[in-house]
Amino acid sequence: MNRRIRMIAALMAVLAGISSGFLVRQMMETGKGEDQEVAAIRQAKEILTQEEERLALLQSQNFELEQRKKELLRRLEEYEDVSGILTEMRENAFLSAMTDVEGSGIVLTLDDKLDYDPLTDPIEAVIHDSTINYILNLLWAAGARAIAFNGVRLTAVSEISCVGPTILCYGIRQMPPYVIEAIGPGESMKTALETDSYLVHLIQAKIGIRRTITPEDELVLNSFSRTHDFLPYIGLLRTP
Amino acid sequence: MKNRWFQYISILIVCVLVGLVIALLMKNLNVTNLGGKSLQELQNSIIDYQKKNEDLNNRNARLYEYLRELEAELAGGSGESYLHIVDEKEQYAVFAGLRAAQNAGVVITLTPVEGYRMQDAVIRQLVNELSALGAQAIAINEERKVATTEIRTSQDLILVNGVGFSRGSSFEIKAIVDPAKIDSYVVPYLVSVADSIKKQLGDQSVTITVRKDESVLIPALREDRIAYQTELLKPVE
Repeated sequence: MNRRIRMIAALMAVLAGISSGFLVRQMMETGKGEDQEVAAIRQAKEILTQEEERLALLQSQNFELEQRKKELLRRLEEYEDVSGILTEMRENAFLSAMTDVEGSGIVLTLDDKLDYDPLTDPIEAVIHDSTINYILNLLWAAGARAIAFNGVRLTAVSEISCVGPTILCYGIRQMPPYVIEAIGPGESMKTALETDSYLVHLIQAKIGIRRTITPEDELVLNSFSRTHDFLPYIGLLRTP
Repeated sequence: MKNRWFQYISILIVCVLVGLVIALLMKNLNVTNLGGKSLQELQNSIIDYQKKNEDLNNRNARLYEYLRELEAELAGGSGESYLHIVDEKEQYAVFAGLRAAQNAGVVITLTPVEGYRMQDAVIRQLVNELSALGAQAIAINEERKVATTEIRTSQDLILVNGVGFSRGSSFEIKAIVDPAKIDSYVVPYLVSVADSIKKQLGDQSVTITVRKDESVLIPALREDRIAYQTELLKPVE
């Protein structure tokens, strides 16, 4: 028997062993029930699905209630002299990011370096909260009038922070790719992003941050109220 | 010859046993079949969704009450919905930074050493830290921070809401934060951030002081500021 045949025979024997092992394991598990971790993961997935469904339901209810509110306020305007106060309320809602808005602008997507390795890649190859805050400031300075970060509208109290490597926006974990939608002067915002020396540094091959900028003629940014309740964010403010 | 076959069979048996051991030691493959997320990641996602749902549920409950009032008003009611609209108008104004606000908070003063020019990044870092600490109102040199506020250097000035401040002068950042956390967490944390900034910039740069103030007054956004310019935005009907 030559050496090659002996090697193949040995490999086949190892494979046969692995197969038998899985068979034995399967039989053992069928007897004792599922592995505890698998059961916990399965249960967590079920709860997550329920929470996702509940969010979709609440968002749809919120949309219907907001529509109904608009309609009732319009009807109220016909019956009573409330148009002045309603106009003010709508203006304040508009300025506080509590109204859905539309306009032209840009969509910026940012992602960590592909296959980021913390042992060999620089720390800048991962997007940090400071990078996001830096970009937001750049966009406001370039004339942005409304911005959403990963679908959440930014307000006067835009809480973007981090816990370890995870970015939080209003206390909710965000995952890459990060999407920043900005309504405003598209060309000016695009130029600001493309020419900023720090951002140019980040997208170099040696750092590897992935970035795309897409001009949009019609962007719609949802109100902050679609994702959050605003009252907890003004609870500490007293009138002087 | 017989001895040789005995050797071959022994090696094969050892190989089968090695395979058996490998299979039994391998992590259960079912775990990876469940979407690839770890239990910790799933639990984090559940917490995030629960937070979002609670928030939205509260908002919807209040909206529902509001709609009932409006419907009662339209059916010949008491005028309460007018008061509700006034309340709501004011709440939006407060949230947008259009009203002055007062409460306990912190005051950070940055004074550049003679000849040093203040960097916008330092002010931005402190403002971002305050936002992350849950500050509900912030002002930089009496300029209210609102959604569209930019803090950027333009030659010898640092612009905040389009208003220029000399880079050679002091900057004061005021913020209203949770009074229960000021002494125990906010001030010590901001002092550590200030120390780290000073270490980075060196001794001949800027002095930073952080102090608690029982009654910080944050001004409203002034009406001539750029945040009021909304011509590029249209409300969605």
